Amino acid sequence: MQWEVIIGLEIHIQLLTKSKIFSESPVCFGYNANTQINPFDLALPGVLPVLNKKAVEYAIKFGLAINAKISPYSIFVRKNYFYPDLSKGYQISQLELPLIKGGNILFPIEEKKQKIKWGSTEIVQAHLEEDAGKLLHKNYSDKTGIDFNRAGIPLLEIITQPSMHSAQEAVSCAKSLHSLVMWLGICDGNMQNGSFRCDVNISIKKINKNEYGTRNEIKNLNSFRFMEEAINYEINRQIKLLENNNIIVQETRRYDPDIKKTILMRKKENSKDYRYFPDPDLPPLFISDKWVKYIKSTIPELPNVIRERIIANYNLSEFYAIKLTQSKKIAYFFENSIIHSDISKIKLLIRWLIKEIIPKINQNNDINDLPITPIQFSLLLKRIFDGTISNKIAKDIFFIICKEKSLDPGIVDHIIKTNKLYQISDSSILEKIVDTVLSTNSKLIKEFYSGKKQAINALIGKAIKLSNNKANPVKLSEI
Amino acid sequence: MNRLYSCSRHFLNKTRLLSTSNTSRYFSSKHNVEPKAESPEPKSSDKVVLDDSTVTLLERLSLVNFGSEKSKAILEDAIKFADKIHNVNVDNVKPLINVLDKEWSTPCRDDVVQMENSTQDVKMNTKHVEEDYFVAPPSNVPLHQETNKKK
Repeated sequence: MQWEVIIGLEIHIQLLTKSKIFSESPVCFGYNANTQINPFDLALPGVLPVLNKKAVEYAIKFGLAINAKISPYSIFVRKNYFYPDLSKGYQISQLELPLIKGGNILFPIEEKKQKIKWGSTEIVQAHLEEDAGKLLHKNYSDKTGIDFNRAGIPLLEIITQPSMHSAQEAVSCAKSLHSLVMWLGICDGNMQNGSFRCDVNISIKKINKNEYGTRNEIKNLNSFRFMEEAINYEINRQIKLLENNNIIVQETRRYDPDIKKTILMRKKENSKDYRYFPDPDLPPLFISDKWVKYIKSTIPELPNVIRERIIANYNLSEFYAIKLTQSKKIAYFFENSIIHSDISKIKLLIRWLIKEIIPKINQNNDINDLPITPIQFSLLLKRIFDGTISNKIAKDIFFIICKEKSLDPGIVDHIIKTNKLYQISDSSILEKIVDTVLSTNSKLIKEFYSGKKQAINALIGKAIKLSNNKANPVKLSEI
Repeated sequence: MNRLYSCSRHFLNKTRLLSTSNTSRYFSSKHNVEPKAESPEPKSSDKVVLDDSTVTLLERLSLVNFGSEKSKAILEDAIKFADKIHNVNVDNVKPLINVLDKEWSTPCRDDVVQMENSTQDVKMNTKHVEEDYFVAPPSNVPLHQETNKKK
């Protein structure tokens, strides 16, 4: 039997505000339990919510970036449930009249090696709500420990159409949303700390049938790898159930990465069970055109625009253009280093960026904290082009600059000069090195003459090592 | 916190202002406005009967154990009483989201942190705190149908 997989995503992103969405306590991570709270977060008598303007602004920013409709009139509702993670007994959320409606997100799918196909998913809505507290069951037998530090952190819940058909598509869509919200500066994207959490809805139907299957939801996936594993496991689980003539019950499940299985959390409540109703403490939210226009003017140039520009200007493939625009920091670094560099050597620059610089840049989320300045980087490359230093020595210099965190563009030449790292291209010195290597490696020479062509590379490697990485490999192989 | 309180005061004033206008009786708590019902009382034959699965669902959602047939009967009575609302004709009536609808956008505050209360103040009325965590009964413990039937 042929089955079709239908996947929709619900993504919660924590907005990067300083204070919570309805109270003035701080938004921060990693503090002692219940230290970042005020009476509102505990729902003490007499407190009322007051909306954080920045949270609304960030939500609108996201809406504009995905070409959505910004509702001029939206309302907050209470989602009622008895669970100790929110002391009010309800969560303030949005349902039927959300702030953001529609829009769509494009995502790249790597079909073959370096061949890109673009997928697209419509966004149903994105709405504001408050995060809940964290519960701790481990250390408390028959009791629950509650930490309300997280309660009230502004969340934007993004709901996509169920229009994806594989784990690869779903993960790629989530990755695109992840890089977009970080690009806009509205979320730090830290999945480990729960700033970006994915819920996945999966259902299976027979191919060519219009009737959808019962969906199951996998909650709180906080890594893209787990997301892919969880979706693939869930697809197989549902297909097996259906092939054995079992029925699928609507459930909320979670993924356990240790046993690589999804586990039942609870039978799914339907929306009636939450008794949604408009929050009487919060009048409707009106958004003026003037405000939207202002927010639009603060949106940075988006990755797709930069991608098109660098493809046109530097004749790059889409694959590399996507790599170079995976974050605002990387795109900024690329565009600023290319203007100081020789465009004819762009291949070397990109190889260096992808292999050395991008992994370093990705280690740190801070937009201003670069491992090396674009000018230093272009000077370093220049020294490789003009033969002053070898590629290997350049890597060593790069690590020294990363450590020293100097902004001085002269540091590249300074390091070369003080450590005497010049590449050896003088034939007479190189010949001496080659002689030493040849005299001590008779086995490799025999292998070379018996037809093993790779033996020559091993010999060159030994010569480079002998010269402390300073020997010019091109000249060496000539000799 | 002052902001929160001042905001709430502001709203109270606003409501009071509205209540002094000629539409006052719709906003005042002293006037009971009876909904215009087409048939105010449901017929006696419309007796509400709750089946076991609905009772279990309600128990799970509210974390309240109905316990006896008597409390179930009270609930059924309450539902019957509230069901009157279905008799109100709301054709062509736009739902009112808030009494300040169309008149007042929810006020927004700037994104500024203010911690006027110390953590100790916030926790001073709490009986059970262990290592900074509030301690509550076990959460989300489902009431199984079988155990209910035994009762």
